[in-house]
Amino acid sequence: MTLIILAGILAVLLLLVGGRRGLRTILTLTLNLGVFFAMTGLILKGMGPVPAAVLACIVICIVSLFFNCGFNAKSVASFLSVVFVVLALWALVQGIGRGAHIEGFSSQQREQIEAYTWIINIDMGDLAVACILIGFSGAIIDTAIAVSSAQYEVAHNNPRMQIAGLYRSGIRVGRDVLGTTCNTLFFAFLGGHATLIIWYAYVGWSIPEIVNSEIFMETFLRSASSALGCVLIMPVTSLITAVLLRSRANAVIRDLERRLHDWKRRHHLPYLERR
Amino acid sequence: MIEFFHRLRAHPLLMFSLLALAAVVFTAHDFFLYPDWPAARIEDVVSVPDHTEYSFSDGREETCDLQTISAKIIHGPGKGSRITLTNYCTESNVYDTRYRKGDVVFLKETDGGWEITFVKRDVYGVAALSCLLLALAAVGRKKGLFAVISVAANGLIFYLGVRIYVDRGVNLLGISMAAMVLFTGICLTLIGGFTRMTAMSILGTLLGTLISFGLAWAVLNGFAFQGTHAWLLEFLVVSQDYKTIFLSELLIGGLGATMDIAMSISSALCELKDKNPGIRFSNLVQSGREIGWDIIGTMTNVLLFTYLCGGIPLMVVAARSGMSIWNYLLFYNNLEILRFIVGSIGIVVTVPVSIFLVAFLLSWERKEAGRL
Repeated sequence: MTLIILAGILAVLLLLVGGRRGLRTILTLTLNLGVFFAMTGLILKGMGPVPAAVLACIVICIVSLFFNCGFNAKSVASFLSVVFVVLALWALVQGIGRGAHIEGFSSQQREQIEAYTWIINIDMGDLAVACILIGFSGAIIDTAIAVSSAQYEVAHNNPRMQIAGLYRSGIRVGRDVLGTTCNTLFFAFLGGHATLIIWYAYVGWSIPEIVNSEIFMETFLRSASSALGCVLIMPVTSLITAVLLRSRANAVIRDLERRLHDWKRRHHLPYLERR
Repeated sequence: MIEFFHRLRAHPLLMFSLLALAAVVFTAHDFFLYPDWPAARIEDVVSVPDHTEYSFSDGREETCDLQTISAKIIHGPGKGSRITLTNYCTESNVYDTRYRKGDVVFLKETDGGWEITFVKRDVYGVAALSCLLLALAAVGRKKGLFAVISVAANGLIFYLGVRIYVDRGVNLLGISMAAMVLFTGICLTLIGGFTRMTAMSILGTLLGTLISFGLAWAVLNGFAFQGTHAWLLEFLVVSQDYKTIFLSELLIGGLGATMDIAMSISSALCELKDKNPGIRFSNLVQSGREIGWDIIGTMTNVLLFTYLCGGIPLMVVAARSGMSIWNYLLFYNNLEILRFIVGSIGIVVTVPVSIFLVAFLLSWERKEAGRL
């Protein structure tokens, strides 16, 4: 009940403040929630959790970038860099996550989940890696689009600027975004795990016990890899956007963008249009 | 040697990389930090199928393996001696652990011999942290350092807040409110410096967070937390406290996103005002809306995935126990979704609040200047 009322308040506020763009945000969120459920469904149907998560990351990226921001050089560049960073971090997360044995539930969580079965035919180690990959997809998409749209504006206003200059301006914008992105992730971490920290304080665990516990390492690795993804995506996006904007690819993207626009107009799909 | 250090100072990144590597190597050998915990390195594992276990909900089956582990004690009594350990594990490892060659584990002495307590995980945490700090230094330079300082300072404040709550029993919501003001001040000042823009974004953040928190508080209390299952919060110590703890989590959780919005809007509007001192109130509001909307769409997605991903393992286990995912998430364990929704309300509320606040302050500033 409370959930429905709060969701209703959110929807009304989005529509009130944003009008048509608010509607598009609601649609994007619903689609992404749908992708999330579809991914869980695929995992339950027997697909490997990590391939399912990588697939979901790509679909989420398509939804949030092309649907929310339209098809243009910025979204293409962001898409390419998000895919690159997800694939690159996959290896790292897999290595660290496997070694740290963050799979499954810790003995402290047992009481709460006693009623559930533990014969699930799903590898919990892979599932933990999948969680990390899905968790940072939202944050890196946000950073990528911030960097590439700023570069797009710079390139638009300075037609003579070359790849190196565009790359530098992308990095500069990225540095400005860095602080706030780290804060967003950090406070989301605190908000999600305050109970755990209070629990540690009550029980009086020592630092070595906390640091080596499964639940702490799992949450820590999740947040640290989100932050790492956000940092790594800055140079990657800056480079890809700079190259895309100042190469033959830009003409191809422009052409596709125009064709898509015509196609939408012919099929009367104005609500898909930007703004 | 001295020559080498001099040369190193010219290449800070190389120095940081060496430091990070040293930290990882140090943590891999930091057994002196654990004087009471004997440890062993696993040298060989032989897994033999032992018996089959069946799920009580849908009759799925899994082989339960018996692992015979040979390990060498590398810390504690009997250092250097080889021991044999046994461990049962299923295929999914929901509660159990499947040990592999190369794992370092802590041991407990039992009457018959040794037993594994848990894996030594600290080295992986330090490895991840080193990668992160290295990337921050390489990409962010000074800004990266500021981000680290801000996170460290806020982490310390949070820890002190928790200590006050646990030791003195002060109302958690009050502590969170005070902490919120400190967090906002520290973060935004570190990012923006002592400028009017910083002051405006602090005001915007506090106002936006308070309004959205007030809304959430009113709805949650108005319906007496009906259907929220806040008592399902993991790791509750005093179960009567669940409402206060959950509300405090809501207050803190969306703060970062709210700060981001308030900061972007006030910095952009101040920039506009500086470039064009005669700009009108309505133009400021118009530009603020444009900027705000570019952020809302992606920001809500950040919160969505950051919160939802933590719930996946529990959701999968619940689904395998015969619960539908939909029912589970909406009616059974909906805390993650609630966090996301309240955080997003904070984001959406902060946009108009900080636009009007900043636009009002900026045009008032112009009038004041005109009068002088």
